[in-house]
Amino acid sequence: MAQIGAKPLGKRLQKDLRRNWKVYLMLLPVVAYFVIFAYMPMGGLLMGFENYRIKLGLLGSKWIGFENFRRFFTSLYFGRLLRNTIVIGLKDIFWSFPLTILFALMLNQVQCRPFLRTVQTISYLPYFISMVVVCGIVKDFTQAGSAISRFVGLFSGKQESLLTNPSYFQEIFVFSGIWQNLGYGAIVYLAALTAINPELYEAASIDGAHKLQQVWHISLPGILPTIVIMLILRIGSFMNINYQKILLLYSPATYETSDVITSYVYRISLSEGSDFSYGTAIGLFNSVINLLLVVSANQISRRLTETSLW
Amino acid sequence: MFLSKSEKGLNALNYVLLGLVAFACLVPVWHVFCASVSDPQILNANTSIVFWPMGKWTLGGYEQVFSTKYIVRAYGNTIVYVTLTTCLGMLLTVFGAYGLSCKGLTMHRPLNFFLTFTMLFSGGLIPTYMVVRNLGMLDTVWAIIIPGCVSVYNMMIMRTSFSSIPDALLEAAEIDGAEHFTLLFRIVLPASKAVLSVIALFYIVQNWNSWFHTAIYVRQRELYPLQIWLRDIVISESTANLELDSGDVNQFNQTRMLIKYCVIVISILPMMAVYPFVQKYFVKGVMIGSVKE
Amino acid sequence: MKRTLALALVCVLVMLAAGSAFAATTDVDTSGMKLTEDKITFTFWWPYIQDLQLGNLADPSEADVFKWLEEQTNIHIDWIIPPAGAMTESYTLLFAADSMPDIVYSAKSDGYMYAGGPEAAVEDGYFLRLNELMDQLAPNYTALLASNERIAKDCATDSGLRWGFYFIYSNENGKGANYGPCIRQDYLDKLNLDIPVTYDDWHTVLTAFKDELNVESPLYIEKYGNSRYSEWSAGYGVGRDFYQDQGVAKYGPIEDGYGEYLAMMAQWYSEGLIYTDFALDSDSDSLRLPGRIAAWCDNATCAGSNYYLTRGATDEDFNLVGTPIPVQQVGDMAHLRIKDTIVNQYILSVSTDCEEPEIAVRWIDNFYNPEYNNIFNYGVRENESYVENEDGTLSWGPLIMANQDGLTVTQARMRFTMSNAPLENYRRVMGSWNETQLFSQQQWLKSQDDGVISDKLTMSAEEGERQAAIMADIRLFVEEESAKMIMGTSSYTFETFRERINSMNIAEAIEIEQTALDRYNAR
Repeated sequence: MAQIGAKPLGKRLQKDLRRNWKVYLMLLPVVAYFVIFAYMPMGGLLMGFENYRIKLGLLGSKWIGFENFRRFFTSLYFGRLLRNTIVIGLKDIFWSFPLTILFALMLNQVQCRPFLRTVQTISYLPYFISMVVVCGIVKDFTQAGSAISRFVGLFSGKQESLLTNPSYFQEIFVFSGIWQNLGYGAIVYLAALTAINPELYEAASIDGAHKLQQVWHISLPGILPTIVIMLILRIGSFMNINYQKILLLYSPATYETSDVITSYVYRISLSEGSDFSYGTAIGLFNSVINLLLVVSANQISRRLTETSLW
Repeated sequence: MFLSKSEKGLNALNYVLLGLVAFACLVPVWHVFCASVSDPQILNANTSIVFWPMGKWTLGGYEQVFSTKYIVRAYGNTIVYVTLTTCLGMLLTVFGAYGLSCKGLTMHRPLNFFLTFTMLFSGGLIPTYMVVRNLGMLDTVWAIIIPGCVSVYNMMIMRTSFSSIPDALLEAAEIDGAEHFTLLFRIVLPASKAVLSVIALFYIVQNWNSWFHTAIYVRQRELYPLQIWLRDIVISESTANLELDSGDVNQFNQTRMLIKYCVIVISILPMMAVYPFVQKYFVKGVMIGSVKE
Repeated sequence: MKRTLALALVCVLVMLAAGSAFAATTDVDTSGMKLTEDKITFTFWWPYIQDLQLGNLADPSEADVFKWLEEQTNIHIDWIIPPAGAMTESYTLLFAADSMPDIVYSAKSDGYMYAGGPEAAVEDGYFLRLNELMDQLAPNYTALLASNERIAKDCATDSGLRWGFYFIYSNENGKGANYGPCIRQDYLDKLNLDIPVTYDDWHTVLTAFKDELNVESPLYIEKYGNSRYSEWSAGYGVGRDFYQDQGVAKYGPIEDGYGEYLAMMAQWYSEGLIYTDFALDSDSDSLRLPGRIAAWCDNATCAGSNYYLTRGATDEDFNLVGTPIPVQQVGDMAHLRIKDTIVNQYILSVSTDCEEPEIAVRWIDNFYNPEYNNIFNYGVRENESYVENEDGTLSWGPLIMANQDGLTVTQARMRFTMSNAPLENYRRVMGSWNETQLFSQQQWLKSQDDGVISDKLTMSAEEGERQAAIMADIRLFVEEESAKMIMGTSSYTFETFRERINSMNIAEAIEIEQTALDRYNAR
């Protein structure tokens, strides 16, 4: 390979094209698709720096530089939006990550095959249900008088629809997500667990290691690379909280804890205003932060665990 | 294997907890099924979980749903969209994954970066809308089918699976003079049934459940898929923001709740029906994707 | 099964009846209505999907009135109805898309308004300037404008641009107050108290409710610590947003009166007179029906929720009535409440993409033809959708007021009349009111509405954008902090609260409002 690398790029490409032109032919529609639907919109991000008017277009609109960003950073809601975005993201990682791994570990301990298969199959079920329906079910189950609401009422002393109370919104958001994705998310770890050499467990067992000790010293280290990769992937979408779900669940009464950057962008540019420039600028800010996060997570992980996404 | 007392206890606890998880996953779905055949009047007053159909069983809700023109039409639309979107998505995913798995491609690294970057960074809602608009796809089926039909994540999973096919197999075919299309369709794809069916399932589920593109790209109600109506019925229960100046409203629409559940059931049934067919590949397929190359 | 059969049967009957009903309206001269030999189709953006939902209509074209209109005019309407919950989005995207529907409905307060305002919408080439077309082709609408100065003033922008057909109330006084403070009369009776007039009266009454009747929290206010049209603070002379004081535009929350108002409410709150969780917007039947609250602002007529003001007629234990808007001293006059309107905020515009704007204008003008007014308001079915009263006026009939197929009044209105007629005879609504409702309106009409700034002000694109950018943050801040100050959890005092608003450029926003107001008054 080294001697090929020495040749000038043009030459190499020519040879490559002659030999693999059919592969490039296959890739052509794929590349075209992403150029059009992923990269061209990135060009549209320019409107974040303009006072964009549809009639004037991207090139004709007035350039205002960082004015939109300044407006966002000095806005009263900048702090709240950022806080909610981060807190919901952290809560989600804090709960869903360990729980999914725990679920996989628990499944892995089950010896009785029929039981295992039944539990697994049922746990995938929610994954197939649409967000719209899940949110409908969430509303059903948290309305005033529902079992969950009554249970919470035991502690708060109030009968209320949980979704109208800002102090519960984030938990409802996170746990309904866990409900939907627990079984599906565990598959990856189960796969990694089955790849662990069974002899390791036997040896440990002979050494008198307790089941829990085996899990701690063998299972967990065994799936650590998978955990790290999944964590980096998760961080890759840290700031992009699923605003469709937020939109389906939140209400002005809970903006205090439920309004995140992505949902704010949606509101500002489509539903409560039509400030495309401002919305796009905020969206760009969000994407950049997200990119920085995932790149740093990847670097840190490469240093510490020698596992990385790229 | 010998188990100590505490380990036996732990084991039992494990079974109980897993049982509870399964129960929790099943209950909401069961609730919806039972509610959809319950007596509408009792249902309206009910706020708790329905473990068994309440009152006299009725299929009235379903009759009413299927006698509604636009629901039936939307159901048909959804089937068409899911089929087309999934086919297109699969085609592009397979091509992309094959290209990425090809060894010795000069453009491999740039290509990889080109695709991965789209997972991490995007132009956002309005710029994407403008692109779709400039392509003249607004208010057509294409706006529902094409944008968002491919997922790079799925492509990566498939790439990993393709890469795991023994080189010897491919080389042998190449020596026999097979070119890339033959390799892909004769050797790689038949060897990757599991991953193909899983990715297809992902696409089907995703497309079946999508509504957002339609909500912003399409005006004509004739083109609406089921999920839009579903959203309407399930989420937006508020009444019109018409100037509300009418007379008595105590007469609440009797069957509204019932219909809500019926629509939910008919919307999730097809997914439940598809799942068993791919189930045997499901775990295997997802596992392949999870193993790093 | 039975239900389906019944439904089918009703449909057949409806169709049969429709044929005969059209025949019954031949006394209306429709000879001039045919607009075209070959059928033309217009697209019409209309955001009222809920009325069409299950069990009702798939399309407004199936409604009586539109069937009739189509038959007479030979114009078919292709309705573009956005999905519920995405209606303002859909409106916004109309302008981003590559073509506009032929006819577009706008309504400022519902968010259906072009970002730069009407002038910009015409200037940017979305809507047609209709002045000339209307003068030539819309005799009925222009006659209405000529008949009444108030209408003429409100139906054009400052520069005299007419960018759409406004919805107008045909009866002389338009629509009077139909919203205001209400109190449980049955509780007052129990304690032998009169309907409260001043804030002190209110304090006495609410305290008595709490102490003697064990009402959990007698007064309910909206989440921003006031009511929709500032009824609770009107006695202090301030609104919760912009208002005018004899031609001077003011922003309520930075006025002294607002501080006094907040202090009073905070006091009441601490005494347990105000619903504890008012800031959560948990307004619902479960508060009102069991009497956990005893006073709040309500509609005289309202669909969708329980219909509290009429409840007293059938329910001895729940008699809610309207009260005057509270003032500081007996004899004071409040100047803020829901505004009496002749010209509504709803508008039908013709877009630049419409290929037959002349025909579109003539088609819309039909709605303003006095000859057909009864048809749009009361439907085409004598003794069913409407009945004739002894004095010759009409009222809604049993099909609408007591529909046998379980349609709500709103749904039935959509099906058999026009639920919002562009030329609405408000008598049709008032005609169905009972004594309590009429009494309540009289109470609310004791206050004036001259503090309210008309929603027909127009701003230039820059003015509108600038004001919106300033106010978006201020409004949310004011709503949240007002509520917190009432609850006593705010970190602001009224002075620091006012300073904070001042530091957010409120002066500029007020100035913009003032210029627009001056221009409006000068029309």
